[in-house]
Order: sequence, then C-alpha cells, then structure tokens
Amino acid sequence: MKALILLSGLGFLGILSEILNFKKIIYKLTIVGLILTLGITFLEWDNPAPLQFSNMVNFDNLSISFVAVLVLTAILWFLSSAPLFDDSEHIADKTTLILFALVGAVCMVSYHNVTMLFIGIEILSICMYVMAGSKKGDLSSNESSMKYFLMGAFATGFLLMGIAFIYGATASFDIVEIKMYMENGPENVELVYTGITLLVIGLSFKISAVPFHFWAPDVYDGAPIQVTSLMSTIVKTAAIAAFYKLFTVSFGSQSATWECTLSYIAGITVILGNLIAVFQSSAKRMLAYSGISHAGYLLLAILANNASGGNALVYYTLAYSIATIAAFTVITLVLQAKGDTNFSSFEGLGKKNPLLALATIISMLSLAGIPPFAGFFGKYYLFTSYLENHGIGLVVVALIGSAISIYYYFRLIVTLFKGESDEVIPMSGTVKLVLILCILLTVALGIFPDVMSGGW
Amino acid sequence: MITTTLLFFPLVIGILLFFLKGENVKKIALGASLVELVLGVTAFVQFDKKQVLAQYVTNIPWIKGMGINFHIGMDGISLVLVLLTTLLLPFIIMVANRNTYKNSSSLYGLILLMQFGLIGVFTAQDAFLFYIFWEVALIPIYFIALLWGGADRIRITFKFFIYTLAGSLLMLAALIYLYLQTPLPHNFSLQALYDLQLSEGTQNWVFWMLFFAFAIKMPIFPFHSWLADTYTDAPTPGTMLLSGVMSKMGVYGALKILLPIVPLGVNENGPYAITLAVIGVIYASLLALFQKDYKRLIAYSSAAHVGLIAAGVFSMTHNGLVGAVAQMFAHGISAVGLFYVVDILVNRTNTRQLNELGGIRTVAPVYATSFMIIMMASIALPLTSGFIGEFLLLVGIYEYNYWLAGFAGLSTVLGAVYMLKSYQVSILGDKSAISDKFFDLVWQEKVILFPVIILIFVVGVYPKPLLDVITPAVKNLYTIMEITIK
Repeated sequence: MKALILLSGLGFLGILSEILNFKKIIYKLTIVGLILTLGITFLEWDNPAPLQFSNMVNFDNLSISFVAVLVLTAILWFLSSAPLFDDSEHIADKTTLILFALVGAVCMVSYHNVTMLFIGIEILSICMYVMAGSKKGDLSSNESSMKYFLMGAFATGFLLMGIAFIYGATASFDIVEIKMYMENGPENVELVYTGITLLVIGLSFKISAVPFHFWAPDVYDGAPIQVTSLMSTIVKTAAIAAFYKLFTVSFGSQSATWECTLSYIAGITVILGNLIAVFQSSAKRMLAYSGISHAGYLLLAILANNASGGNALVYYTLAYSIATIAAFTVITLVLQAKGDTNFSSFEGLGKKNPLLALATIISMLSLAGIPPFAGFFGKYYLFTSYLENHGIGLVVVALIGSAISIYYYFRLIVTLFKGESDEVIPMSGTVKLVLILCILLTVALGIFPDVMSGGW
Repeated sequence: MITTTLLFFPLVIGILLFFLKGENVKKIALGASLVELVLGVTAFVQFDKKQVLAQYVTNIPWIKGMGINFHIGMDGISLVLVLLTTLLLPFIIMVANRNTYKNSSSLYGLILLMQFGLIGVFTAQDAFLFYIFWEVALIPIYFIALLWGGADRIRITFKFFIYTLAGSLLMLAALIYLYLQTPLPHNFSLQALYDLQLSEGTQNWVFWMLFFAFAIKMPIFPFHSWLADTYTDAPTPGTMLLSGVMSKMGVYGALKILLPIVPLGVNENGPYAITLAVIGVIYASLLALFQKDYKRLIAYSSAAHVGLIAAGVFSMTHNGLVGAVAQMFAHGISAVGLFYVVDILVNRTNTRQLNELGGIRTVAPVYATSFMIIMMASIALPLTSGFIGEFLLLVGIYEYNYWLAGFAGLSTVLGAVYMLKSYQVSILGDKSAISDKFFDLVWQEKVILFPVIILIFVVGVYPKPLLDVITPAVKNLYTIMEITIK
C-alpha cells in the first residue's frame, strides 16, 4: 500500500523534475526512492493493510511479496540501464514513464477488483508502448512500439470483453464476490465459460504464451535493449501474478473449465519457446524466445491451483528476473562494444572479462535450472506444487523443455570461451555493482530457498 | 564435524583461488589438498568398524517446507570413496603443476570445487542433497574440459554435459516420486527412502529411471559414447578427475540409491544390467586393443574396469559388492598413475600415437619400470592393488552365473593383452626417432609416481584395513535390501 503511494509520488517527482528543471538528479533520486520503497515493503510483511480504496486493492502477503520482487527488479534494472538515461533531453520523461509503469505493475499484483486489474494493465502497457518506441530515430524501435501497441490493445479488448461477461454473470467486479458466485454453482454458465475463455486468451497475450506470442520476438528485438530487459522481467512478473490471482482466487473452483486449455497452452509454450530459441543467432532474440518458454513454466503455478503455487511463483519470478537482468546487462555491454548482439560478437570475451564471464555463466545456469542456483529451486518448487494435485505428464514436458534450453543457454557460455580475444569490455562502476549483486543474489537464493516460502 | 570440514574446506579455498594470481596459487592449492588428505586419513583411522550406520554425521534442517535436510555422514562405502578423493587430489594438483596452463589459478579453483562436489555426493545422506551435489560436481569438470581441452572440446563437452544431465533429470523425477511416497510429512532422507515398501511394479519402473542416470554416469554400454572423446580431449588433470573419481559416482549411486531402495527391481532387471555391463567390458577391452592413441586406449581400459565393477554391483553377491568398492579404490589409484605416465610421454614426445613411439626403455629405465608396475596394477596382478578387487568381483559374478564370469574374466585377459602390447610397442623394442627426445624422470615426476607405486603395493599386500571398513557397510546394505524385499 505504502509502496503504491511512494511509487506514484516518485512518478510525480519525475514530472516535477521536468517542469522545475532538476532532471539531472532524477535518476539518482529514483534509485534512492526505490530502495526506500523496498524497505517499506519489507516492513509491511505480515502486517497487511486491509482492503483499501473501497475494496479495489488488497495488499496481502502474496501481493507484498510480488511488489518486493517488482521493486527489487526495478532497482537492479535502473542500476544497469544508465545508458538509456544518458540522453539529457528526455531523462525525466523516461524515468517517469517507467515509474508509472511500475505503479501499473503494482496495481496488477495487488488488485481486488477486476477493474483495478484493467487499470493496472493499461497503465503498465501504455508506458511500455512509449518506451518501446523511445529510440526515435530507429525504425525497428518504431515498428516494435507500433506492433506492441496494436497487439496489446487487441489483447486488452479480449480481456475487457471477458471481464464484461463475468460481470454479466456475477454482477460484480470484486474478485472475492466472483469467487463466491462461482463456488455456489454458477448459474449463467454460458456467460461464465465464455468470460473465462476470453480472460485466458487476454492474459495469455500479456504473458506471451503460445499461440498468443507472435508479437513478442519482434517487439523484444526492436525495442532498445534496456526496455526489452524491463519488458521481460517486470511486465512478465506482473502479468503472471495477475493471472495467478484471478484464476486461483476467482475461478479456482471452476478449474475443470480452464485447466485443460491452460495445460495445453503451457505445454506447447514450453516446447515451442525452447525449440525456436535453439535456432536463434542473436543473443537478444534468444533471450526473448527463452522468455516465452519461461511463461510456459510459470503457467504451471496457476495450474497447481494451491497456495504453494503462489510461493513458487514469487520465488521463480524473482530468480528469473535477477538472472534475466544480469543476462541483458551482459548483452548490452557487448552491444555497446561490438555493435550487435549476434553470438559471434561474444567470441573469446571470456578471457579478459572475468566478471562478464562469471555473470553470464551464473545467469545462464540459473535460467537453465541447474543446481545449486536459484533457477533450479524455482523450477523445483513449481513442479512440486503442480504435482500436489496433478499427474506427471506436464512436468515431463517441462523437463524436456529444460533439457532443450540447456543447448542455447550453454551456447552463450561456450561462445565466451571460444577462440581468443584480448578485448576488454568497458564496464562502469554501477554495471559492475549490478552484476555482482545479481550473482550474489542468485547464489544466495539457491542456498537459502526457504527465504521466499515465508520461512523467514 | 569432520565431514563438514572435509566438504566445505575445498569450496572456500577453491573460490579464494579464483581471485589470486601468481606462483602462490599452486602452493596454496597443494597445501589445501594435503590438509584434506590429512582429514580424510584421520576420518579413516578413527572410523568405528563396528558401527554400520553413517558416522561423523551432520544433520541440519535446510528447506523445511520440502523435507530437505542438510544431512551428511559417512558409512564404510562413503568413507572409502572420500578417502580416494582426498588421496588423489594432491596427485592431480601436482600433475597440474607440471603442465603449464593459462589462467592456472582458475584451473586449481575448479579442481578444488570439483572436490567439494564429489565429497558432497559421497557423503550426502539426503536424497535431494545427493542430487544437488551430483549436478554441482558436473559444473567444474565441464569448465575444466571446456577451457583447457583439446581441439574439439566444445562439441565434446557439450555432448558430455547434456548426456549426463538428461540421465540426472530422470533420477530427479524418480527421487521426487519416491519422496511423495514417504509418509507425511514427506522426507527426502535416504533412511526414509530405504524404509519404503514399494510394490514390485513400481520398483520396476523406478529402477529403470534410476538405472539410466547411473548407467550414463559410469558409463555402461550402450551409454558409453561420451566417454572416449571426453577423457581423451580433456586436459590430464581433468581426465584424472573424470576417470579416477567421477566414474565412481555412478557406481556409488547404484550402491547407495538403486540397490537399497528398489531391490526387487534390481532382482527383476539385474540380469539385463549385468549383461550390459559385461558386454561393455568386452566391448571396451576390444576397442582398447585396436587403439592407436595411447590416451584413448587408457580411457577405454578405464571404461572396461568400471564396467566390471558395475557387473559386480548388479550381481548382488557379498563378494561382488565388496570387490566393487575395493576395486573402485584400486582403480582410482591406478587410473591416476596410468594417465600421468601417458601425460609424461605426451609432454616429452608431443605425440600420443603408439606407432610413433618405441624403445623408451633404453633411454628412460626408471620411467619404464614405473610404467610397468602401474600397468600391472591395472591388469590386476596379485600383490598389486588391482588384484583383490578384481578377484572378489570375479568371484561375485561367478556366484551369480558361470558364463558371465567367464566373459568377465576374459576382460582380464584382454586387459593384459592390450596393455602389454601397447607397452611393448612404445617402451620396449627398437628406439624410434621420437623416443630419442625422451629423458628419464625428473624429481618432480618421481614425487608423483613413486607414492602411487608405493600405494599400489601397500594396498595390494595388505588390503585388510580397507576390507575391514567396507565389509560391515556391505553387510548393512544387504540387511536393508532384505528388509525391503520381505
């Protein structure tokens, strides 16, 4: 709750910085503000604020966990993305947009009313549409923004229609009231089932699950790389959290309706995302497709339909976000030094860039799900929470997907050590800090996974 | 306490080594490995042979929500393998000293991290912890082979990693299934898994899933295709780690996890396993016979030996099991010795091809003698360390089935054939042009080889301390298997 207020305040501060002309320090102010927000969020744990704003938002423990994940990711992202804010003309605009996107994400993870979900999605998405196109001179950036906007608006249309149908059946937007309606045997099944299906489609668009993923590779590839990093982490976290909340709280009792569809979506997403990533020659696009496959794994938490699924989701999104930020930071460094992100640009860099190499190794191993890193435990938690109520079929598919993913994650590691290159990639102090933090967090989360399941 | 130190000391020093540079790195690495050796020997000497359960136990709750404890300890079998690891590591580090490698501090760091992973595998008393260490042990060796390997290392290491990982994933799935069968609250500890009473049908498919993981690791025919390339292409310290210790992981897994948890499955499917193992032994021996590359020949001979060990394990006889553990110890020592001898050869003459060598005996008699002794240990000549294990293994397999023992025994004969033949071609006979460059052992090499030779004789002449530690653990294994079968 306080996080929401603080973040909005920071956003307004951003606007003010443009008007009152202190935009040069807004970047540092933002980082400080975000750290403050993270601290306050930790203080709110187990001290949940009651339903706020006429039951529109609810900051229970799960929401607070997700907010913490989002803010931590944002801090790491800001630290690693200094080059995006080098442009002194638009620094305040970009900072403000991202802060408001973060506000949208917070709304998306803590909503209690479906309209709040919609508001959150829209705030997040519109800011992201603009940021995707922020490299004004670059045609692919413009293309990315346009595609994102059109597909996103289309998806939101599905979402809104689904919400409308559910409202038509239940006469309420409140997720607990919807839940009670569903549990008492939904009377208006045509409206309910249609609504649920439309919501599945709309939300699957947002997390880029197959077959609603077609926008993701081009959008991720065309946008400036730091924005791609943001999209892969914060947008995905917020979207899957929203998806989880809606389906396990409101539609949990109706799982017979959506389970089958969602299982297929999850399975095909995992396999297809991983398979296509194998054939990529650009590291940026590879990470985009691998992000699609991770959406598949994340769907397992929703299919699990129990409390441990929520815990698993928090842990997994955290592990995934940290590893992704590290990976994108590395790719950004190579992009700046070499001009493109093809695998060939990475050749031999391992020799003279130990921190770069270590960050790549650990983040790739974590994403691939190799113990003892956080990514492994994330997958493990997801699988065990899914197996509590289901058979092993989808888990086997996910394991096969993981095995396939090892190929392309290792490709990046191996390329770093292929051949000899004496090139030293310049790294600023903040970038080094981000990489070290990501490495330490990935290892620490792997050694103490209990931290995230409320065991602290 | 001692187990925890044995486990974490190489981890700490290993990570430290990554940040250091210069000459001191070698000394620190060697010092650390010697400290580990002292710890290992102390644990061995102070081991209570009357106690069958794990000793030196540390058991701390780790991930409560998932029933996973940080539970480590050593029983007789674990102890022997931990001793082997701590024993071989100083040799491996000294061998790494002898060659010049770029970024050598990373190499030493990785070697020590490997020791951490290996000791973790051999001392884990919790199935999930076992799996974690199983995977962790894979990472350092992958990088050692990748960064300092031969020409085709990218493809080869990749195949090795994926192959082994695929097997491990099957093992993980089986372990998760077994975990869910334990009474609530679910528990991953090995003892809880041993106590499970599973139906025969379940034991069957669980057996196969676990078997694939261990069969790929050992390796057993037909999952052996990664071995020759990886062993040959890796740098010599890496090959020693692979052959000397890591190959034992698969057998250890079979002893600790496969046999006690699904003994009915082993009973049912043992014939397939043991047949595959024996086929593998003959196959590898025949391939060794036709090798022209010396390192590859030793790699195949290593596969043949481990195949025989695997056959002994699946014979499920007392002699077979004791022989398996004893032979693991002996083979580790002789593998390190053999690969180092070949390494010296390669460093001096720049070739691994047998047909280019010849008559080294005339130029380097001490080297030739040392080579001969280590080779005899590999052939399992009585009075050498290799004999007791091989003998017990053959007795065990004979008790299972005469024919299989006959074929397995053939491997000993074949082993003698290819080793002696290669020795004759390279060391005896007329001097070839390349062998002229050869000079006899220097003191650093003697420091490595002579202790190996002494160990070979000591264990060969007086294996009792070793067998005294192994036998109670094997008896305990039997008891567990019988309880589950009933």
